[in-house]
Amino acid sequence: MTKHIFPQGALELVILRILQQDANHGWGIAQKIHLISNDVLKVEEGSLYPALARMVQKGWIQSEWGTSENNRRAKYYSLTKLGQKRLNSEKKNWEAMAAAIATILGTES
Amino acid sequence: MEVIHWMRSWFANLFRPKGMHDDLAEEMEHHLSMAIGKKVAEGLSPKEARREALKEFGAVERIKEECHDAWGTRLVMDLWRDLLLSLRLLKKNKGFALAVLLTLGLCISGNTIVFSILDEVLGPPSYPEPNRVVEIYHSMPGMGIERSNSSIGLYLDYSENTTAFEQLALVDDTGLNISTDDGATMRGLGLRVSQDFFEMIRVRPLIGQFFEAEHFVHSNNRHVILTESFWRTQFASDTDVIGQTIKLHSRPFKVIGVAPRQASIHFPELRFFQAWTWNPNTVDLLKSRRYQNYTQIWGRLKPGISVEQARAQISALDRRFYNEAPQTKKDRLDRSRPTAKLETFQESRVKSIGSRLYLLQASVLLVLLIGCINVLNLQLTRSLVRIGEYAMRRSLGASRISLLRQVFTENLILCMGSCAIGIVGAWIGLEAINQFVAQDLLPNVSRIEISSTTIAHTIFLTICVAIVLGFFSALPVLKDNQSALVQGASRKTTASKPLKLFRSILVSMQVAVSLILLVGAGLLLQSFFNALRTDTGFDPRSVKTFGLELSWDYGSEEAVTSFYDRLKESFSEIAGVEAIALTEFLPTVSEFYNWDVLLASPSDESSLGKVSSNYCGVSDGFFELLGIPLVEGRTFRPSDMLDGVRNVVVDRRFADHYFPGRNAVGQQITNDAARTPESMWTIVGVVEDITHNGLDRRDIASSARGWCPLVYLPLNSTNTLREFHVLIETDRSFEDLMPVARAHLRGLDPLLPIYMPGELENMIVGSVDGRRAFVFLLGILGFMALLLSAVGIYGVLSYDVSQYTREIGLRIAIGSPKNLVLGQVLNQGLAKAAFGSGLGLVGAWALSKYLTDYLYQVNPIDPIAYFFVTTFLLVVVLIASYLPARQATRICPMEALRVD
Repeated sequence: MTKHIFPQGALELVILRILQQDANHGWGIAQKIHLISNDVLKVEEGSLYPALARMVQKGWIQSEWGTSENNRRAKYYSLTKLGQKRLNSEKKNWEAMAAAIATILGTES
Repeated sequence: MEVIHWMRSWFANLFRPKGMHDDLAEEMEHHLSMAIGKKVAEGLSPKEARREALKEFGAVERIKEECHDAWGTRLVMDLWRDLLLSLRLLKKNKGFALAVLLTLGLCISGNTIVFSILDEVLGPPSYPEPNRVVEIYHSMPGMGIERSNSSIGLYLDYSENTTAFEQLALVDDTGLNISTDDGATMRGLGLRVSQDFFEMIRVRPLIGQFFEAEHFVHSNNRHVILTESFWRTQFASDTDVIGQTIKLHSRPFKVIGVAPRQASIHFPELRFFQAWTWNPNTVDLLKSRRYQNYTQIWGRLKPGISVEQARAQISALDRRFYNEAPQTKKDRLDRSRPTAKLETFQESRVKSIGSRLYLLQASVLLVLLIGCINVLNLQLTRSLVRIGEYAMRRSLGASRISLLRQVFTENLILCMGSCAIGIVGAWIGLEAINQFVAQDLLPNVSRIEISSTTIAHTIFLTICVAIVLGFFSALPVLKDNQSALVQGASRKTTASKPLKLFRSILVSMQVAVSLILLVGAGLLLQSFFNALRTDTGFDPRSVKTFGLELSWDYGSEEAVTSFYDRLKESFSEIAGVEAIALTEFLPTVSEFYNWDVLLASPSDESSLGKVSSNYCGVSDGFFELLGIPLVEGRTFRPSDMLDGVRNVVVDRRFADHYFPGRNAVGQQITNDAARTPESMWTIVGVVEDITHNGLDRRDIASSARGWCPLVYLPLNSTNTLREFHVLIETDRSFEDLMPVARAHLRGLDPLLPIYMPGELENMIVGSVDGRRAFVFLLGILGFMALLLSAVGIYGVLSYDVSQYTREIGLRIAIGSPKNLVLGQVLNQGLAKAAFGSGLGLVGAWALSKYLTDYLYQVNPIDPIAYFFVTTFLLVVVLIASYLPARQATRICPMEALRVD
């Protein structure tokens, strides 16, 4: 099974989608990505953190310290209103683009 | 929205940098522990699990950096780190930091002071659009007069017949005796202005009103507007002052308003404004007396009108007047050739004192240059030590950029510190200047303060200095010297040949610049003493003086002359008073006015060169009191002071000029163009010349140095003066005399204030005070330059000595005599100084021609000044070199050889 690198911008969309369900910490987010994508999408786990930092900076998500499953302090990220709006608009964008690309590819074959 | 969020987070991050880093580390640690836990559960050994987890996670440090980037605070953090590091390094080198801060701080404070002076003096006046307000005046090249005042006649003609001006105004400052309701009597400066004056400078009344048309009716001109400063000091800012009465020359005037500060900006001592009116019946006469000079005309140009266009209109009117004038008048105009000039106030101020201030500014910048060279030398010395440090940091992975940034930050810190010291120093310096020299150096400026413009200037200058210093001290960084690390030594690194040469050149340059400054100061000092040494032609010792102006109560000429007599009589009774005399102008102190001399027969005049003459009204006893020797004829007698007597005394220059080879006594002269027999004055005596118009005067038509011919008129009813100076010869001290003198004056007229009191001898010295302050400041700068250069030479030599400790020690060990070592170090210092002096002498010689205007009886390439200054400088250099040289001779060979 080949693994694919995340395209630019998609990682943020995926993180937003995951956090929409529930607040989660970095490790949890990484696990969900593996799980949801059936390990098809490969993410260098560390690269989550700069992405999270950027999103906090932009106000899409917010962070809060909590206790994780192994009883250690962990930073939980959750979606803000701004992030929710962002997710909706990004999702539409993405779907429209995916559809367009699929159409192009479909006509070609 | 996002932007706002971003900014908010950015600020939040900025203020808790440590917390951010710790949080991130903890978060990543949590991630790894979870990952390891999972791998262990899957059956890996803890060690393997950790390795796997780290592999999946990626490079921890790189990810941290990426997060820092995301926070957007990286640049600020780096700068902050540089700042802390620099401060730490400077703290470790306290001596170095202190030396730099003091040197630069001193130089920058000098610059700030001169900036402040320039800003205050040459900055535009603070009323709106000052560049459109001009003064209109005439120069009279035919009479050698550069600037001649105007008249009501000119004002009337110009305001009726030009279109270039929005407003024109007559402006005339006169001293008057003021007495207020509460009995205070004082002398004060007032400004007579015409109707549009306040409109022209665009100011509004502080309280009350300005003059209206009704106040300019000749019979109704008893109204006065106070200046803000007079109102605040004399009337304690009391708004009830409106409607009160003050007496000017004992006539009551009603206060109708107070004018704000901007209105009196060109006359800081001003106390009030008066409406200037004249009898409407005399208008034709006033117009015909066009080129009499007793007032100024100011005008505000219409928008879009250039100074040149306005001047063309004025000149056209002058030409029309000439064409319509009768022949006798044309002849006189042909002689004087009045030429219209227009000038903004800024221009005229720059003209009058600007060049002197620019000279000061140039000097202070040169001192800064010397200071910078000193700091640069220190930096270079230090950078040799630091090459090792740089190399070490480079090999540990610091980028070259970050090293450069570090060096620049360090310089910036030093410079900003110096800037702060400089501004504080300037503030202290300006306090002193305001206290002691401002009045002499800068007439018409009441107080110099540091403005925001000045501070901006200073900061800009500081940044320039920081960049230059940063550039030079970064040179060793640019030269990537990895080998220094290999050598493993930092202290032992010696200067490379080119660097040594560079430093020697810098020191020589310092000496050269100091020499130029010192030569300049020396020449000015010499000129100043020459002026003081000038033989005045009279004896001012033991002469006390004060000025009086009689009020309009002394209506008739007889009332005035009878006051003269009563004054003389009353003062002769004071014990210790040997003689008393009256004079219109104080010789050497006052400004003298021109007298248009005509001889009895026009034919005698044609062969004479053009010269403007001065006049002065004096009482009998004047020549005897001042000890002015008689050449021929006689001086004034009491009988000359009687009514209707038209006798004059002239000085030798006058006699030589107008009656060459003839006896002047008995000749007749006049200042009336019609040459009527009644207007003739008879010369009864010739006296020796005096320096009446100032100690270092040059105002003769040919613009050569010297004094104009002078004619003394008698103080009698033909020539009564309300305003005059009293000269008293007495051995009593001034402080001792004045209370008695005031008591006697009160007996004569209780409302009469005195002005310009003092000892004549001191006042003569004071008349050159403007130059004294200037020479004083320039001298200080010269000595600062010298001191800094001496420190520079000392620094470089003692560094060299410390570098060659080993070599010198070795030489002493093998028997080199100490004197030889001493001589060699001294030689090094003197060689640099000699080279610098050579450069400096050439520079001073080349620049000295710019000083010609300030020099009195001194040749700008005067060898004595050059010789003394150079000798003096070399002696100072010798002392500065001797200290390190002596240190060298004290090197103990054993210790020197043992140093590592």
